[in-house]
Amino acid sequence: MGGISANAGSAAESYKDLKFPPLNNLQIPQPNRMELPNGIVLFLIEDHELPMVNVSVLIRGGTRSEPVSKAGVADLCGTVMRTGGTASRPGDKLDEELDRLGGAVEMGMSDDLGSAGVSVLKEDTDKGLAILSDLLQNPLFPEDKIELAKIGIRDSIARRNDNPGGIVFREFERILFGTNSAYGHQPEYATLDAIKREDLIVYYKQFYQPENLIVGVWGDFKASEMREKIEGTLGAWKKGGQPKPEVPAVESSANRSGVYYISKEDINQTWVVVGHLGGQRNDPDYYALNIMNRILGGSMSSRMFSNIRSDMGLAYNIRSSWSAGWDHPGAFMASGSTKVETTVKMLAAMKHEIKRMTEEEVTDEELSRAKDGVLKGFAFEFDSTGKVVQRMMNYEFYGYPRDYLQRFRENIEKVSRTDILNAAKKHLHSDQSIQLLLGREKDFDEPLSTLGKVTTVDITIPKPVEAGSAGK
Amino acid sequence: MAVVAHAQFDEIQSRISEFVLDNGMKFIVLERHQAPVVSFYTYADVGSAQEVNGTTGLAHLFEHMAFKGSQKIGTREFEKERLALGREDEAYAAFAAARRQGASAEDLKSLEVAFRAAQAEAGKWVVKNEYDEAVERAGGRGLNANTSSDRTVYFFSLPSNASELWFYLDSERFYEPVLREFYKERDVVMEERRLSVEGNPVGKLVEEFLSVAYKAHSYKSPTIGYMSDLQNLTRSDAQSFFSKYYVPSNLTAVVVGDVDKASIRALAETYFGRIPKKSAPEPLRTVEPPQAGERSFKLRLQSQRVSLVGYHKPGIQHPDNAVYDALGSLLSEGRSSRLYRSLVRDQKIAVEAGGFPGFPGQKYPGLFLFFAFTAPGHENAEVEKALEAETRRLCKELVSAEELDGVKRRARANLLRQLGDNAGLAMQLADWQGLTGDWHNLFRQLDKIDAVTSADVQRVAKTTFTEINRTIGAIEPEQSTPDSAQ
Repeated sequence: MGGISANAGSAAESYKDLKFPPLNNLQIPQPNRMELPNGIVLFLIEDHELPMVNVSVLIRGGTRSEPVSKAGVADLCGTVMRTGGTASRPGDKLDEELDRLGGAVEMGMSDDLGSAGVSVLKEDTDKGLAILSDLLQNPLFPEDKIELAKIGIRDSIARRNDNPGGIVFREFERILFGTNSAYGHQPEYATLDAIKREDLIVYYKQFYQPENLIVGVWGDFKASEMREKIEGTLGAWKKGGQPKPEVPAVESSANRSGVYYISKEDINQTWVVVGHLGGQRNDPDYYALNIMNRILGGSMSSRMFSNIRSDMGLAYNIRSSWSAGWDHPGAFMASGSTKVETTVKMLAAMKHEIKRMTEEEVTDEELSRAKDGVLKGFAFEFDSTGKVVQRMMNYEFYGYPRDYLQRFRENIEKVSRTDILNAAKKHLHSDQSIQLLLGREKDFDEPLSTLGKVTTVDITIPKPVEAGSAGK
Repeated sequence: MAVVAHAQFDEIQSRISEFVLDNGMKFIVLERHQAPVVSFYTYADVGSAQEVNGTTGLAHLFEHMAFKGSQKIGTREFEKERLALGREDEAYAAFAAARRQGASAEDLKSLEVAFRAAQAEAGKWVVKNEYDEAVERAGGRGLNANTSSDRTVYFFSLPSNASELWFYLDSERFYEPVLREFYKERDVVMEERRLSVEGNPVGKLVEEFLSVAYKAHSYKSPTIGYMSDLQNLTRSDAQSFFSKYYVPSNLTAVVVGDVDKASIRALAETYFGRIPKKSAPEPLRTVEPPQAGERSFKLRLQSQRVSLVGYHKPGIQHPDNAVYDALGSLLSEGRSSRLYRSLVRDQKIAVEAGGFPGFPGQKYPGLFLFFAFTAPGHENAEVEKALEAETRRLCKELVSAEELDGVKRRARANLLRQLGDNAGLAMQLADWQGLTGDWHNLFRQLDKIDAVTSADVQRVAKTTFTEINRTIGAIEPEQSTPDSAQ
């Protein structure tokens, strides 16, 4: 209930005088978890607020599992599984059917996993489940939809240097992980041309099997009935027997530290990214690093925002992130863009903040503010059933304990100023980092050479093979 | 076919109440007790359309300033700070005047030094980012704001036991805001302009497009503001803008979540009741005259091709508003939509294409805007021709009952999906209240869409999609770009 303070009727003098009643009993929905005989792990929660049914599916694989020489095959598979439909549900007919129903069945692909989703009105539950089940088990992969999807990827290759923000974060990751690595590779015209229909089928057969699936369903149904429906559709899928995909290793980026420059003549801002390899969410230091990052550049009251944006007026978009991976190291990144004439000034300010974090403890005030930001808002972690289910699915996918969120909360509560300083000293490097600048060097406030050895990154898009000579 | 979700839409409306304070500020409260959280959304009926030449960017810059606090928030001692701010303004005015008058480099330098010193002095009284911190400390989420041509909105969510904090903070910012750190924030906004327009091909395209499609009405000017205007905005410009437009009768606050309406009313009276009633500003005078002939332009940029085609249309209050929404849905919603089928699937001349009403806004007559990302190896002219063929088709053939049924069903299903999200609901209720004067229209629009006939669609297509009503804009790749594949 919206709280009224003891001063009902008169406005408080300071917001610090406000006294809030205790938070209402937090109801945390608990999904049922079950394993089907064919290996699918299923989560169900009933939610009768709206007459809708939602399904989310995670599939092991992802773009990190595709052969680098066939970069793009995972994306193509994910796209065409939906657009190409099945023998009994050709793609175009399926498009019409779903649009007429006001429902959606979609498939996607990201780094670590493939995904699928259903969102339908309750009355269309059986239709939605039948479609999802059919698409996952019997994709047709017709040539015309493969070609259409390839056009889409060719277009994204052609456009990938049009926006400075897009360029700088992509190239940072490629330097960080390695351009031929599982996480740093990208599709090129040549790799796309080399992909044939058979390659999609090979990728599909390797990963799309019930043993690799985690399914979550939430909405307006009875759990026991939904379980039967899932068993009757996805549950009938026969095991594939392929081995569980490995998680590709990430090699240290230490030997790739240094200053990198990408030339872009037509912009009057420089993009600056400073960063290096980070850690995982199950590192013991993760909690201290999470709070550290909030203080450093992860909120509107952070040091970087306060100093580099509000005080120095150097950037609109200054921020830092400690994006710990679930099953592989993520990245630490500080980034922002500033007018050309204040490039090196901003880079110096960013490095100064990073260094300072490794040299002095944060203040009590900074610590309590950051912890409050996480802990006082904990109710938001449970403000939608979908959020709760998808979190459970995530933990299942990455092998995290079901009570990880509770542990996270407890560990955040414990974080001390010394913890943060120790974690920063161990994990944060302002000098041993990748410093990437994108812009017009001749107008920088200082020449890049003042920063040391500079590696120029060539982002020229390799040209496609001449039309007509691509093997068919 | 049964009407989708009728019961749900009726039920939710029964949980919405409203009241108006004596000073004219309106509140809408929707009780939703799924989780102990609440979302707040304040809608100020002022946008960049209210700006005049010479002070573009002011509405958006004021929005930034609204995070700087008030006489109570963000200051060590306001009485002293007030004097320092006055001195900062004087020093700035002297510096700006000298620059305008072409003073010598030496004079300019010393005036600049004096200004920076006064700025630093004023800065000593500032408690930095206190507003943001107060929200963070209470576990707030989603703190942000947005300015468009039509309106300025401010929002965040809180755990519901901390609701009073929103009343305190948001009433302070509209009761007696203090526009501290003004000149620094102006620098930040200039960086934002460089980021979102000058360094962004589509941003440049859109800015140019509006200035070509509109000649008279202030929809022609960019919300971010022109750089030369930004460089000359003063604190008193922003203060005057605030005084004129942020009157309580121009403000609507929406509260959605785990609250009870009686408590919300009491808090509203206590906190926002402090703001004195003030007369409403004069409405906009200028009406864009009908376009007399097709307009077009090309930008040559380091970018792949993008096409925009716009047609003037009436604002949201027009009786045909639902027909325009239906057109948008027919043309671009889903893979069976007209544009996807024709441009993307069949002709393969675009990788994405859509058309939607209400750009850059809906309060005043806006544009029905088509966009397309031209496929590699194809020309914008092909895309423009194909778009024209689709609009001609809508003028010549009646759309099928099946397609129209799909539009209607999707409209209901889409709204239904949004009922489970406090922040999204708050935004929708505020927008419909702000733009049409009645939040019920969020739900009534569904009935209006249900009533749209194929004949309506054809009629509106015929009057809208004409050559003289058309503006075309496009990005063409610069000639010698070594890193773009042709």
